[in-house]
Amino acid sequence: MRYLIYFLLLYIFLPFNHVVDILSILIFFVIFNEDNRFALIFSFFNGLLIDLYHPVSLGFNTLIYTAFGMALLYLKQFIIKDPLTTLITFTIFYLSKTIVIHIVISSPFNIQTFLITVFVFLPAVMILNRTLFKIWMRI
Amino acid sequence: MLRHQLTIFSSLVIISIIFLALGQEADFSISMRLSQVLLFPVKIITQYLQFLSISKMRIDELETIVGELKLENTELKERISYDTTGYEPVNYKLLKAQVIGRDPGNFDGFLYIDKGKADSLYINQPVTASNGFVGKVKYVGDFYSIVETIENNGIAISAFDAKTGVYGIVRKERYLIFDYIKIYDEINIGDSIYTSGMSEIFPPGILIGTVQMIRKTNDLLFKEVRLIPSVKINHIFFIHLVFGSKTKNLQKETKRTTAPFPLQNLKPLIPEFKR
Repeated sequence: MRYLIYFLLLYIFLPFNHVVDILSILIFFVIFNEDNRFALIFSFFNGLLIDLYHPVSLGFNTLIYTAFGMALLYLKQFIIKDPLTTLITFTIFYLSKTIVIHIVISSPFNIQTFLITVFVFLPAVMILNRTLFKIWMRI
Repeated sequence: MLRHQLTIFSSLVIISIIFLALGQEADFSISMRLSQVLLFPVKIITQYLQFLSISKMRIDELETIVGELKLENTELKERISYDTTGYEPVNYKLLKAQVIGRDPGNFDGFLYIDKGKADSLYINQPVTASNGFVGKVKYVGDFYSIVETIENNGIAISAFDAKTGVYGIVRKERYLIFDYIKIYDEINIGDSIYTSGMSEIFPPGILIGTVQMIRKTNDLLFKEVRLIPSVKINHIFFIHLVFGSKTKNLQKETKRTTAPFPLQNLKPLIPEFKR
């Protein structure tokens, strides 16, 4: 049921992703809270949808999201689950992803979107936690 | 790390690399087919949002057209009973503007709008909203203007009762009042009060408000008529600026009344109409 909700959210947020990169937040959440295999496939699917919705080069976002997803899956076993660490990890993940995309396909680096996304991250994670796991924050 | 996980990761990376390695035509063909299936729900949402956006724009356009037609209709109705020889039809044009500032307490009734000299606005230009009369332009800046609304105590508008044809002046005191209505003049609660057009500024036929209360006072000549304004100034976000050729007709009238030579040498008694 949760997996279905993730895909539903993916489709809902896709058209608004240029305002707040809520999909990155969603992937981060899935990677940290769900099964590793599902998280990987979800990252891949997310990248594929972005490639199709904003067609630049098919396969590019797919590869980036899969690679970053895998990296996060590897790192998550070393990361303590507290709000500050989670926020810092997300900021680094999101910044790295944005910079790579900016360098490779010259996508404009929108500082406003970046700041809004980082600012929205914790409330969004709390809402997702509350909706899916009935707790505000996993510590 | 689990072997399954690595297998999945490798497969996904290989698929991504295959996508990247495809030629332009194959890339395009696959994208088309995949988006038809995968982006179907997104397309529905996007199309619905586009439909809403287009509908909003269409409503704005129609609102402007309705406002223009209302003004034109009133002008034409008025002219049916007069000799219209030599008159050019008045073509009112409306320009929509957004309210960008207002006095929070609404003590002075001024509104700031996002149009200025750059949009050919001028002082004393009539301002309406979709519901009726708003006021007139008081100050014109380069890219913004100030509108003196009906809520301001300084404003006075020549008006008439559409049902009984009684003329008077609408002005704001403590309430919005329809002033100079004689005790024996027929006026009823619920009557609509429109601009009369007997002014250099306001065209006829703009709804100002409706009669709320009629009260006899100590005044032996006039009675007090209170109005409910048709436009709630605190509730409006968009207004329409009226561009019309009213002054053109007035100038025509001026020309017709100008006396022929040799009286032309006399100083004209008729005032010039200025914007």
